[in-house]
Amino acid sequence: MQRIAILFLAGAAIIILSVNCSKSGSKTSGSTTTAGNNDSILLNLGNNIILPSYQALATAVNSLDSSIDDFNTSPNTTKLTNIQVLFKNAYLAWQSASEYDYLGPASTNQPVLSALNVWPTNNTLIDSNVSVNNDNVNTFANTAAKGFPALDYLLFSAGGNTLANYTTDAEAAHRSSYLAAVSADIKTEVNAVLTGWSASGGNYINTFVTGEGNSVSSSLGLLINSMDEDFEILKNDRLGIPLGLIPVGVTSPVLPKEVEAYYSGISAQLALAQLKAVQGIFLGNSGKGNGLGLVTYLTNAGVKYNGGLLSDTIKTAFTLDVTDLQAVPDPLSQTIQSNPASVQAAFTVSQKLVALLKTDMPSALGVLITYGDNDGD
Amino acid sequence: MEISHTAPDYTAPVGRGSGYSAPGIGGILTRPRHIAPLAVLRMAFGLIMLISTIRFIAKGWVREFYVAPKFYFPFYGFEWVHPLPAIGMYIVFALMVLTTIGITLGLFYQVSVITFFLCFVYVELLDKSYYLNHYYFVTLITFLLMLVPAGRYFSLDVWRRPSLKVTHVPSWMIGIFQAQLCLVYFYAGLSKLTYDWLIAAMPLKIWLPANAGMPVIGPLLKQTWVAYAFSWFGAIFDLTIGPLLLYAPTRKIAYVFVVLFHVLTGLLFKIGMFPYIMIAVTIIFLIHPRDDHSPIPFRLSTGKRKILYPLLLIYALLQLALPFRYLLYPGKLYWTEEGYRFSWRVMLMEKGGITFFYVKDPRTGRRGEVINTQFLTPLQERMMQTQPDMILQYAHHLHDIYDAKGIKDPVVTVESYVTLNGGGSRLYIDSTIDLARQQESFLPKKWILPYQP
Repeated sequence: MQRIAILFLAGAAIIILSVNCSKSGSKTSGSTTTAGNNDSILLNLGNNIILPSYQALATAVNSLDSSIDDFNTSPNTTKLTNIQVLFKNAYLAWQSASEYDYLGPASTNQPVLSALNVWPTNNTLIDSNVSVNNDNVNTFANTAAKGFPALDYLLFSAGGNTLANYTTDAEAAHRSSYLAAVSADIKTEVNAVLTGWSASGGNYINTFVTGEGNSVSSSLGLLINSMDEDFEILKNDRLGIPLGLIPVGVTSPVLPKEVEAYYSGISAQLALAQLKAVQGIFLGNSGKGNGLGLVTYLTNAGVKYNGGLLSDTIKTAFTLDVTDLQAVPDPLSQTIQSNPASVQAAFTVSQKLVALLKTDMPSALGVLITYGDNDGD
Repeated sequence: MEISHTAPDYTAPVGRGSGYSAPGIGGILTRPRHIAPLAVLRMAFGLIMLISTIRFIAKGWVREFYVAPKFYFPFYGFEWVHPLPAIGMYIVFALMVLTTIGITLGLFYQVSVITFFLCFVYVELLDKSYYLNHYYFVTLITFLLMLVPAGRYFSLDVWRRPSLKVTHVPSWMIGIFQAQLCLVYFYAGLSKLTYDWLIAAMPLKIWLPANAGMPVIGPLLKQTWVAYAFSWFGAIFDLTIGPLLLYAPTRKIAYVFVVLFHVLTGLLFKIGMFPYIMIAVTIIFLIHPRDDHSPIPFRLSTGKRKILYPLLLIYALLQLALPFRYLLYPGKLYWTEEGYRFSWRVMLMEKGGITFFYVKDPRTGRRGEVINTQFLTPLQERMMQTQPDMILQYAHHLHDIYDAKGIKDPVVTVESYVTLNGGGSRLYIDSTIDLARQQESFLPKKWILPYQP
């Protein structure tokens, strides 16, 4: 009987040891580097595309923030126009960084950049915050009263009366401080993410470029999941919901107020910027890159699609989507009423692209599309 | 005790009413065998399930799988099984922790194993999104453990009440576990004898390079020939390991292969506890104790035998037949998944899909696309998108939701694309069919479009 016990304990030891082995095995697998093509793809994506995107966004929001401070000290039309332009620049820069919101430093419980772009904004709440001089914007209650949509409302909703809102209006002083608080919040959040990525800060860039393989926790797996989740927002939230194609409760006609950047009216530009950013990740080339991107994995693996190459199919779909979206004029809130067919066309191609990016590409690369967790068998 | 290669020299107390009898097949099945393999199996299985349950809780899956979702995918015929409120689900899992300890130590064994079985089956029935072959396997092993007196030797129950002690059981009580294991491996092997697996080396050709970052063997995994080697070795292993474990001269080396095979697959694939459960349960082949000098046989009453034997016969026939039920359905099994579950088809396909569901108001003709993440967790969505019966369940759910929102009897259609083993994505479900009007049944689903190779 003692021998049974010994044998049993030995068996248990083997099992526990092997459980532990598997854990340590998967830990080390991420940190090894071997020279090869895949490394250069991650290097290009990390150093030439992702990091510069965050840097550009940080530069844009820092510049916006100091100009808002300057505007608040002595508001005038020139300075207002200036911060309106800087706002648009920053919002466009946001579109090229939101793709990485679900990996690395941005992927907190509430992904950082997403939290700065919750639209439609709650203008009633903003007004009441201004009234009571509540500048504490970074709270759960103020989720829809901060970030870029709040700036959009604060800087554009009053049209020709905007300057008066910050000079002669009874609540001008409160509004100025709210504007500054929203901008400062954006600045803090964005810079924190940039620091997390930077080699001089959290150095996630190093983790990213060395995270080989294509498991869910590899850089490729994380990037594809993050990018796909972000791209679905283009199809659903930027186009589908305003078009009334997505039932919010009950199927409805077009919903102009649901567009992103409703007050500044740059919705289509923003959507196009996002699309081009995703295309840039795929092609490994958004201005600075050397052309090693997700497409390289597909080309290297020679993945076929309906007789042709999958890489070519996806490239064509991107080109088509860009063309279709370029044909949608701003303000989108009016285009969806005057020429819904043009937006429909962009929506349909985007849907096709979502299918390719979410099924064919990850499947061909063995990347599991999951934002959750479970065992397989 | 000693691990012995020879059959024990044994003179058993044979008598009527004891469950031991007669020569022939019946004689082989009821020949007394030492109970030690059952006791060891009980401890190994109990311990691994204890680890498995704690791991499940620690990963936060109780909340994520059974508390957080707004909708569940019950199995056909078990739609009446619903999750308990959060506290209830945690109590169920706490019970599983307690009962696996009970099973391991042989403490209140009978109560423990029955309670564990009920809890485990209840949880599994809640949502087929989380179905895994090894959960099915655990269900079966637990079921069989309820039928045998595995707690009556080398256990705290015996220590408490020595009169419970038993040293010998009819050999079928051990054989049934060995047969179950052999069947699992053999069927898993049979399911690998396909063009995709053997000739195209799919899906390993996709999956193995995923581990290219692993130390030592990483670079090898990118090689095509390695995918073929793994595919062929896997098939041969599955088909032959059962007999090799049964045959005394090869038993030990076969078990070494079992350990190596499962540890390797555990390292390569995200398959959780499965490898370790198999390693633990397979121990039953290794235990061949020398006999005690004063045997105490377990006596199975005639009444119990009259229930148990037919039950086991039905069980065995079901086990043999279920994996072949796919032959009753037209089309490619991996595509339609009709008859896929409960068949030991493990790690056979790389399948991905996407679904765009549409809800249409039949009166106005207005149509809207559904955002699945409003109703499903990401994991549920992913599982649903490649499995027609789940697509149907979800379509019915959407029908009910929008009906309640005021669109009377809406039409629900789906545009879905699925890619199988690296082939390009294709339309999966007939996008013109109103799924709200289709009913679930065991009949073939005519609205699954045929696979276009």
